[in-house]
Amino acid sequence: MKKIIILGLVLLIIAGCSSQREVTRLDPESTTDLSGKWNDTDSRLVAEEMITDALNRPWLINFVEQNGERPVVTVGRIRNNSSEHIDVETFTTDFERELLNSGKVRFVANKFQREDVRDERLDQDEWASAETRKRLREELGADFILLGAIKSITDQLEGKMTVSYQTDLELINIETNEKVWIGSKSIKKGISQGKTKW
Amino acid sequence: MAIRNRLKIIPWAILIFALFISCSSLSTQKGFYDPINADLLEGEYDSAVVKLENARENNKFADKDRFLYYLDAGLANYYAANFDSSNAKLTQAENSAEELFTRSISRAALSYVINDNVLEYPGEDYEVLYTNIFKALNYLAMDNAEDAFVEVRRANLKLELLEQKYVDLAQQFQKTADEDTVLSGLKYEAPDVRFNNDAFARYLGMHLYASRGDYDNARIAYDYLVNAFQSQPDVYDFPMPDVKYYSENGYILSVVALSGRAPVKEALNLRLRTDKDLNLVQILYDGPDSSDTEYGHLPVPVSEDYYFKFAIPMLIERPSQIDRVFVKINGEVAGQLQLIEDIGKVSRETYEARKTLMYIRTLARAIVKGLFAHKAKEKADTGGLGGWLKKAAIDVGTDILENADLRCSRLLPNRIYVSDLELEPGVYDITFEFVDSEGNIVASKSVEGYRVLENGLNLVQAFSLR
Repeated sequence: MKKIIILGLVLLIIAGCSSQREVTRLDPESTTDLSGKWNDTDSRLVAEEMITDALNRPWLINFVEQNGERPVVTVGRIRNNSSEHIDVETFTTDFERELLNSGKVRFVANKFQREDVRDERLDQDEWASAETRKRLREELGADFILLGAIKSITDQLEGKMTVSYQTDLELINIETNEKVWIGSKSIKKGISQGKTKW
Repeated sequence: MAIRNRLKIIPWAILIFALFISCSSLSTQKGFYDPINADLLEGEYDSAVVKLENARENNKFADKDRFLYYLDAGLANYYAANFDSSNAKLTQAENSAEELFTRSISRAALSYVINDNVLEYPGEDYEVLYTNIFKALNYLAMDNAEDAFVEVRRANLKLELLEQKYVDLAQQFQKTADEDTVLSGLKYEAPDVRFNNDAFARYLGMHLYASRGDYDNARIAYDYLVNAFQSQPDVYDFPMPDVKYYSENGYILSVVALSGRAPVKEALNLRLRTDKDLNLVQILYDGPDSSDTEYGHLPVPVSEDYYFKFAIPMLIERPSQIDRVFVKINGEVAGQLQLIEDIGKVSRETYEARKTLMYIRTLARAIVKGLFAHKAKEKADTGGLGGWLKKAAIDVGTDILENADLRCSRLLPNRIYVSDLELEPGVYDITFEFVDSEGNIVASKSVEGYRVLENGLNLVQAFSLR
């Protein structure tokens, strides 16, 4: 009897070592923090908050009053100056989406997209019919460019770590180099890891 | 009767323990590295990658040793110019090191009975540091300066935290020692880690800043580089290379060469003798004439005379044929590269900090195991062949269990050389020549048609592990 119990115990230990993969579908809007590193939620929240801030500042009203139309904006380079690999492309797309969906500004493609579009136009110039061909040198020039950087500061002690991410964005008048808006958004994360496990 | 019943559980407990550690090994497996290293010396890098993967499939790397697999697979892929795959493996190595920060209590308990090989291996500090440095080199090879910069920052961050880590370790040890009868009386103070500034990481950082036109920060990185040499003479005991991040006459082409193979851990088999009259524990090893030579001693109170065996890991240099590295531009010698990093010295400095603690643990374990074996042999000494066999079995069992933890990366290079050349923008054929002490070319690598740009980072890398 005892042997059976011990054998059962051994089998339990062996079974306990095996693991099964489980897949769960998550709401893309939900906040998920697994590793503590910069993730899609951070990217989305920072973009939403900073663009809301930028669009509610006087520069926008001033521009509309002076020019009688909405400003045209493009997103320039957002540098990753942090100590983590941040997908700046996703981050940039989040900014573009928020700006465009606000309806308060007009929006043109970024530098890399423009190159692709220009290639396409040149291709059309060569191959498309005269009726459908799009004209060269008729691009909508942006009035403002959004530039920025993400920085991080890490502090760590005995399995506890805090990471502060700071995103700085600046909206610059392309013609005059005038900075019309500077925004900053910080996210601070505390990550703790147990010193021991069984 | 109750005690006797309880004693019957012991063999079962051992069986359960054996099952628990069945996936791990009692000693470090390293023989499978020989053909991999032979491939690396012959320049058969793809073959080295395949052999390393085969080793993993053949369970040469237990899950507890996953950091080592990822690090060495990352390095093998770097040598094979599979930069993306290398980064994927090195990222997993870094993640494993972070996961393995959490120590397993059960494995720690087992390590006191068996040896340190049963512990999960989170990597030596220098190994974790070089995961970031090699990731930076991978990103630079893929012309991705921004991500290379992230890795340089991560490396610097780890160095900043190194000193605090050993203060924590010392406090933990002292707490354990105060509660443990074997370790009581032993005092361990945090070693002074004299390495918290990596010259090569600063060198990369300096050029990355300069490539963005950020010359203020490039200068600061340069100052840190100078400080690395001035404040860490044990690690940087050679002249600082003549580096520059700005040229008024042209543009900078940085050439980086890696050579040799870093030191590896090998076992030093020792014997421990206690002397009850002198209250002394004496550690001996085989001297040049096979006689007992003292390695060290500790004044610890002992009640009987004993004689135990144990093994500790030592970092052993691996010889390299390469003495100097030259660079040729369009067939003309443009200069000799200068040493900026001796990975062997970095590994020694960071390993030294942990070594004392590890040796104390090994010693404590040897004493406990030796005492247990001594008692068991006294009981087994029933005379005749049976008694002799039992005693022999105890000796063999003790010997099998006592193995030094020799886990370490066996694929890291040993030295890093650099040179910053001033060139006009244009296309150049660049050749690295790795030369031995007699001036013979041991290995060479050519990079044809390299375009030196006006803007951006111009950095070429080559290596020979010979």
